Formats: sequence, structure tokens, C-alpha cells
Amino acid sequence: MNLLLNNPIANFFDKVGQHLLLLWNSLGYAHVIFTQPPRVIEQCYIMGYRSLPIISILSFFIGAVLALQAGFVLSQLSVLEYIGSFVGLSSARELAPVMVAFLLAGRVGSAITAELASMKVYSEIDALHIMNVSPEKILVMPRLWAAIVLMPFLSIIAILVCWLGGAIIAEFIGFIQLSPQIYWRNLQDFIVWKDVADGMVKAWVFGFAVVLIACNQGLTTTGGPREIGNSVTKSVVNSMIFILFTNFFITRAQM
Amino acid sequence: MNKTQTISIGLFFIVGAFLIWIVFNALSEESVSQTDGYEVTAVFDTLLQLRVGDDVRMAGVRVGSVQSVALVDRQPTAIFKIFEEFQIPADSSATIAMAGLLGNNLVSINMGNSNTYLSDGDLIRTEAGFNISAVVNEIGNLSQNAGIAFENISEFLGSDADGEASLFDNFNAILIENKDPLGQTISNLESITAQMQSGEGTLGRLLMDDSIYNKLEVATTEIQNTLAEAEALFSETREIVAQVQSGEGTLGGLIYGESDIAAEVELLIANLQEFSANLNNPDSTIGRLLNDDQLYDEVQGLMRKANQTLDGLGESAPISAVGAAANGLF
Repeated sequence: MNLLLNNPIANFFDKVGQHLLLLWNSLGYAHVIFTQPPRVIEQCYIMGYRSLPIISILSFFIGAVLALQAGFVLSQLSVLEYIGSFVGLSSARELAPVMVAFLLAGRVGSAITAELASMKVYSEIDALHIMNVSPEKILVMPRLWAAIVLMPFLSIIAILVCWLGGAIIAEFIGFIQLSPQIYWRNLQDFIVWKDVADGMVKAWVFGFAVVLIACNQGLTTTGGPREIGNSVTKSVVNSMIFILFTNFFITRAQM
Repeated sequence: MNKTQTISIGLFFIVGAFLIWIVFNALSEESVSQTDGYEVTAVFDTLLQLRVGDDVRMAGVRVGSVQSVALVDRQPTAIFKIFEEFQIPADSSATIAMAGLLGNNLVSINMGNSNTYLSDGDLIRTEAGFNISAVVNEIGNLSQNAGIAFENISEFLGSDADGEASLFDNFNAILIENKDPLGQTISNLESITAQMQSGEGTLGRLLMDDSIYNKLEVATTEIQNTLAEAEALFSETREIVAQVQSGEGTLGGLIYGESDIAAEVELLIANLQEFSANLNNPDSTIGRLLNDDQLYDEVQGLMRKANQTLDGLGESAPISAVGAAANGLF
């Protein structure tokens, strides 16, 4: 019986079940955005506004390196003007959402797990239960709301900064030297709103999942301070696995 | 929760929403069809890869965009949205052209000359455009034909599958059969060319000796000299003729001039005329001699008599000759 409940497969289903349960319990408190808006806004500030610089820097260099690679190949084919569509499409549909989600997992997910895990380890969660205050209500749902509201904005900024990085690199690197007008013109010709919207939907799903995984990992932590560190590691790793795994199926569904 | 945080969150949201709106506007095809304009319908044979939102250009200027593509009554039909400020002459025609190699299309309108213009809902004339896939098909057919042609050539040159003798086989047979004579011929040719090179024989001397060339050169020079002389002669003759024409010299005077000689000749001719007139006159001695038959008859009679006399003499001559001979003998 112990073996039946304590093997990797059973543990996997246990995790899935925990997440679904947490999601279900949290959605029951979806009204917190109206009853306790300051909590949601605070999480927005921490997750969104404070993440903006690192997301911008990362996105800029992703766009830059995309333009560099595309420029190197396309210059040999003498179709440099297609850099715009190449950089635009790959960043809007794939790289910007995935990279934003990775950053969120590393920067926000780890912080959430660490915070909730320490609250759990030091019995603050138990105190909340005793006060008949659900941790889903004041800890999980505001964070989920923040992710739901934030992700479109974070992803559109990431996509635009990616495009900008590509344009700057395409203009100033010696063997490319593509004028920005051609770059943007080609980008506009090839990319439709659906491409950007697909990217934003992806980022939205990822952001939501990252916050859910981080919260669950934090709330299920048991033991002492050492387990806090383990939980953070697990949270980040699980988030990244989920992002890449889900990314494939979302992409397939968006075709 | 302090005020700075709230402000930054508000700023973040507003900027984010603004960016989404900008990107949506820049990329959405809807933004084109929402501008003011009128619709023009075009029926094509094929729409190729024309998509909604592709440009409609007249003489290179973007005058509108493709609003919809559909099959209407089994005919590919496209509806263009033309911007209000552009007017399209009624006899213009639309073609689907390629904007790039990667399958981008645009509608190109060839401007007409008409003074009437298309209005909302009108049908525009169309022409078949350049179709890259048709060209590729053509190239495919061509390469197939080329393949067949090369196959034929190789069949003709190499041996058949049926084992029939081909061109090269025949050549081979000829070469093998005539190996010795061919070798001899070649060696003969070799010796001949060697001799020619060393200047032997007529051909060799012709090729190698330059005396013939020298002679030819001399002959050519002589011919040139002769020609020069002939030219001089001609020029002199021309001079003489010119002098004659200008009345110089005796001949000139005779022909063109009014000198004494002409008068003398005229006098001479007049005398001759008088003389011949006298000759014809039957009263004069010579005239009678010439014109009177009597004299002729008398002369004829005289001649006849003389003839008879001579005949008589002829008949008696042998007898007398015999007599003389007899006299001599006896």
C-alpha cells in the first residue's frame, strides 16, 4: 500500500491534483479583485513593474541575436529585407512569451514560493487557518489576478522590445545594414494581429501556471528552513518544464 | 502600499494598453477597410495567392486594398476598396502581379485614358497576370523535351539496346578494317608536310620561297604603271576632245569653227556637183559616152567581128602548124 501511494507516477498525479484543487479553491475567491484591490495592485507592482527592466533587457538582446543570426544567413541569400518578418514572427509567436514566462518563473515564482514556504514553515499559514482566513483568499488569488491582468502587458512590451532590438541590430551591424523603414515595412507585411495575439495568449497561460505552481509549492512545503530552499528549486524547475511542455501543445493548437 | 507604487502601476497599465492598441492597429487588416472609399469588383481567371489586405496599386501608387476574395458563380471575384481621393478611369484594367518572390501578390491597375471614372460597385476589366507556376510548368516541359532529345542523341551515338550498330560502332568498324591504309596515308601526309616545311617541291617552294612573291610584286608594280599610263592617255584624249569642242586646231575648225577650209571644202563639193551634172548631160562627150546606147552597140558589134576573125585564125592554125612542121621534116 505504501508502495502504491509512494511511487513517481502516484506523486505526479498527486501534484496535478493539488494544483487543480488549489486552483478550484482560489477561483472561489475570485471576487477579491473587487473586495481587496490593494492586495492585487501590490502584487501587480511586485510582479509586473519590478520585472519590467529585466524583461526589457532580455527581450532586446533576444531580438538582437535573432536579427544577427537571420542577417548572417539571409545576407548570403541576398534577401536581407526578410529579417523584419523573421525576427518579428519568431519573437512574437515564440521567444518573447517563453522568455517572459521563464523570467517570471525565475524572478517572481521563486519569490512567491520562498515567501509562502517560509510562512508555512513558520506556521503563519496555520495561524491564518485558525483565524478562519483562507490563505487562497489573501495569498493565492491576488497573485493569480495579478498574473492574469499583467501578462498581456508584459508580453506586448517584450515583443515590441524584441522587434526594436532586431531593428537596431539590422541597422547598425556592418554586414546587414538594413534601413529601419524596410525592416518595419517587411514586419508589417508579414505579421498580422493574430500572431501577436497568439503570443500574448501563450504568455498569459504561462504566467498563470507559473504563479499557480509557485503558490502550490510554497503551501505544500513541510519541515524546516532547508525545505524552503528545496521548494524554491522545485518551483522553478517545475515551472520551466511545464512552460516548455505546454508551449508545444499551445503552438500546435494555434496553427 | 504607498502612492509611488500605485502611480507606477497605473502608468504601467496605461502604457501597456496603449502599446497593445498601437500594435493591433498597425497589424490589423481591418484598419484598411475602415477607411473611406468605394468598392470596385474584379472577376479574374485565377486569383493566384491574392489575400485580403493586399495592396491595389495604380501606376505604382497605393490606391486601395483587397477587401474580399470569393468564388461567385464559379468565378474568382475580388472586391477592392479604393480610397476616396483616387479616381480610376473606366477603361483601366486590373492584373494580379507579384510583389516578391515569396508569393506576395498585389493588384496592379493599368491606367486607362477614359474621362469617365469608376464609381461604387462598378466592375473593372481584368487581364491575365504573370503566373510563376505556369512558367515553372513550362520549364518542366522544356527540360523533359531536352531529356528526350539527349536520349535520342545518345542512342544514335552509343549502341542500342537492340544491339543495332550505331554511329560510333560503324566508325569503329571502319577504323579497324582500314587500319593499315589509314596509317600509311597518315605517314605519307607527314612526309609531305615535312617536305613542304623544308621548302621542297613546288608547293613547298610556293610556301617557303619568297622569289615568287617578289616576282608577283614586280608584276603588280608594272600593271600599276601601265594603268597610270593608260590614265594619262585617257586624260590627253579628253584634252584633245575638249580642244576640238572648243574649236581649236584644224579638226576643230572644220567641225565647229568658221575658217577658210570649210569654205574651200564647200567650193570643192559645189565643183564636184557641177562635174557630175556635166557627166550626166547627154550632149557632152563623156555624157554621150556614158549615156548613149549607140556607142555601146557599135563597140559590141566590133568585138563580135573581132571574135569571128580570131576563131577563123584558130581553125587554120593547126593546119598551118602541121604544114610548117612538115616543111621542117621534109
